[in-house]
Amino acid sequence: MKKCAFLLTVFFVFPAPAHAMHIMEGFLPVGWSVFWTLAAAPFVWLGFGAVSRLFAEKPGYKMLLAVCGAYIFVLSALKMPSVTGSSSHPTGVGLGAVLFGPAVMVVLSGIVLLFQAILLAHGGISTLGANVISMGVAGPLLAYGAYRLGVRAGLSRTMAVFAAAFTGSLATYIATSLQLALAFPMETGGIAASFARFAGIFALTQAPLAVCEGILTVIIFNVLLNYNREEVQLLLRTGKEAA
Amino acid sequence: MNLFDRYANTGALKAVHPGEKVCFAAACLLLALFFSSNHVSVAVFLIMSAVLLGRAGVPFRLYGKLVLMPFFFLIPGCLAVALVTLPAAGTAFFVLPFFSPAVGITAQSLALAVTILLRSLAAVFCLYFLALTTPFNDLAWVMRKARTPEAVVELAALTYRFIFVLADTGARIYTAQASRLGFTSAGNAFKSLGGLAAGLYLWAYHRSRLLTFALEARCYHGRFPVLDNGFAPSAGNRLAIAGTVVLLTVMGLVF
Repeated sequence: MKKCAFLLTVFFVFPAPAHAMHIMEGFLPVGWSVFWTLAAAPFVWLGFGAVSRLFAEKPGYKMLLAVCGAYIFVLSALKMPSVTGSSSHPTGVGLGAVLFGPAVMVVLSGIVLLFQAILLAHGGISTLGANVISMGVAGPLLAYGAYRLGVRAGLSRTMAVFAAAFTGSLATYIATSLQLALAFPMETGGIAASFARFAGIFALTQAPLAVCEGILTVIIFNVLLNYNREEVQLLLRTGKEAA
Repeated sequence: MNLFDRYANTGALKAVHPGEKVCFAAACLLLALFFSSNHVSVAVFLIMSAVLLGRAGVPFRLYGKLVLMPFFFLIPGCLAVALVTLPAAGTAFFVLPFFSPAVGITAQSLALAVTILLRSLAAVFCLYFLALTTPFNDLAWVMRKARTPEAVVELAALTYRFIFVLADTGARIYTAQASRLGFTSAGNAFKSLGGLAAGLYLWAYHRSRLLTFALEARCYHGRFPVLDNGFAPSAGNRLAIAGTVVLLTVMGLVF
């Protein structure tokens, strides 16, 4: 109850951060910037290997991938109506993971994050590695996992897609909170307490956002299936091959 | 969408060698991160502001927005850094009500939050400098010179091109929907946005196929060879960059 009161205070004083959870340029200490860049490198390398194989097999794949990158960029710039009344933006992590598979999403999110940094100044160059890990690795992997699990457990496609988008959005935010907690542990309580404070402050905006993104992704997916069943299914197969 | 690209392509520093601009931004960014001292951060912030307003011709109105924008992340982010569990009562100058292990702001945590705030602001201004003076095509040129794998540069260049195509289409669909009362309620807005995103995806897919056909008809083999326009290096600029680096390094070591 006390926590609720505190969280509500914070919430009304500070409206939703306008954009998806990207760690800002310069926010991480230099050591952690280097660490996350090195940590992201093997994933990007693997993702790029998977993508290159597809490039060689299908000549049109590079164009498709570029268009999908641009699509995620534009999608993340859409203003989504949020339950709390403030506007927020979808991350596109869940939709991307279901449509293209997690391996491709590493590459796509790397490129999208680069353009978000240099065209919109969201995120940053020094924090690119950390953001690739949260938005390109943790989010899509868990979203894809949730989707596959949902399909296997016999959930309807709608529920599985909702689970994927919800999980992807939430996992991205949890990973970011964890990265911030690791970089700024508290003197008393250490990393765990620090995680609680970052997660607590951002949860207010991110939890309703994840629900909204889930709903939106389901609507998008259903429209896509209704109008272009063949192509979406072709894409789902390609994503599985790449993964 | 208000992209920085417009300013990069029309600004006064467009003709400057992109390598010099990248070096300037990267050097200031690295020094600000490395020293992480308030003096260096403020110095970087002031230098970047002066260059943006003075030489790059950034309008004051845009500059004001640039200063305010990072605070959407910085206010909750730095607040989270400043709030700590207090080891003992009396050490904090601000204590939150209602918490059983006392939570508040100490002089130490506030100092850390301020350092992070200033460092982030300095770093973001380095990014602004790069974004507002260097068009992506010039960055791609630098990436090629730095031996980035060709496939990465190609993919980035294609993505860059499609961002504008899709943003334009998306904006048209949005206008069409809004003029038909598509965003009058939250329910309507979800339905409209879903339609917009799905329609945009189908359009994007269609465009990618058209581009593939067009390129294959022109013997595409995985590379877009373009003319290298070349940029004239400037001794003055290099001297100024070196001077800034020396100044910041001395500041970082002294303070």
